[in-house]
Amino acid sequence: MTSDDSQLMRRVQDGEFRCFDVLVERYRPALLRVAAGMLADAALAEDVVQETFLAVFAARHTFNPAFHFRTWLWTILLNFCRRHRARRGRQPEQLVRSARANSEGPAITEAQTPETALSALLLRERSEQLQRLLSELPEVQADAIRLRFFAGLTYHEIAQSMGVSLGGAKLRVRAGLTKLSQQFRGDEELCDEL
Amino acid sequence: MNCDDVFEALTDPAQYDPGHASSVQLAEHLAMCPRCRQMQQVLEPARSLLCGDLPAERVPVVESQAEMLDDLPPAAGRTPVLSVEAVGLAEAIAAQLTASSNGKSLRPRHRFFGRRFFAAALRNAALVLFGALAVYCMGPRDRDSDSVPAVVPPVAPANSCTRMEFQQKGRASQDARRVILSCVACHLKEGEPRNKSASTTLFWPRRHTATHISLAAEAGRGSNGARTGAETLFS
Repeated sequence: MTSDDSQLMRRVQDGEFRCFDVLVERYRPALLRVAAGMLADAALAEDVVQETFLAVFAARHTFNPAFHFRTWLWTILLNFCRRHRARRGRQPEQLVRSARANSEGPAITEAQTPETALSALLLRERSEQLQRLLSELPEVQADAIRLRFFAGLTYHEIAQSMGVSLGGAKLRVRAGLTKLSQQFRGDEELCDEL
Repeated sequence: MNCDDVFEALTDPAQYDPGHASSVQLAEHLAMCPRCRQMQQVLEPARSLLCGDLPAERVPVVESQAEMLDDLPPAAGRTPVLSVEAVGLAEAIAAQLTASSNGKSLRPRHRFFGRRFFAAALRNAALVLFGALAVYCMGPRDRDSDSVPAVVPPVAPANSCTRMEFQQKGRASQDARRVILSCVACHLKEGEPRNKSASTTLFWPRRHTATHISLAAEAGRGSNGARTGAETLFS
């Protein structure tokens, strides 16, 4: 996939701008989900993702096949999200509406059967719980987890994207997952008590 | 498969298989490694939360460009503006990733080697300094105690006990050899201690060396050249 990305970017650099559409199609949903989780605002996430693609296109001449396209893309997105979050302040208590719920995912009202409606509701609750727990983590750990699990980056790519060593990237993911597990268990126990 | 590989496999969303190890090697390692087993148990809730739902979002599938464009939601009156700052940031990240990719195999090793080399040099310098200090502090003291002085210091008069004088004055700088020689001269002159109350166990050094004996004999010789008690004793 990454070699295809490089080839596509090469063609974009050569003037075949239609090839950039394939890259947008490939990465937009995952970028939307992560941006929506980080910004807690689906509309703003849409803007940030579009801004990311526009910036990549405008800076296409600086792309180098020495690094992976997705590492570049995700690093830009994380920086834009951090910048927007710093501008308006972090709002972890705000109810997260993921991009999928608004644009891609099946709406509950469109469900054909009670089973699908229930599964869609559970899915949405689960997604909101995940974004809430991630927002409670330290920023670097949450970003490392997002890059690993949502972006599918290797640890080497995460290290490159975050500007840390390979061990540092693994440490961030591990520490974040450990805290996430503790928080998740705490939530489960709280639900059991209720 | 080592523990590091296990961690990568456990945190790989593509290999997530709830309840089961995704590969035989992983299962074998987990069966024999309690630490990795514990790590798997600790991380399992987070893994299930991250990997157990929304699979379609991790594997985006869009059939065509037209469909993708149709899926784009309306911007609600806002048009994202591409700023110069955003383009500059993208270019800066590309430059940073290029530099990181070019130096990824050498930079950590160089830094690691530099730190190790500096630490080793510092340690060696400290050892040399400590050794030199030890030689400086201990060397002259040993030479003084083992060597025979070219000129024997003048012995105190026989009628005054240098040891008592040493104790009364409290002069820590008093030469021990001078005290002993004066004791020998005083106590062995008549063949018995002159002052019985001053008789101590420090009458004669325990280490009987030829140097000490000769010094004692020389010190025991009186000023008139008479044969002293020390000469009588060691003759």
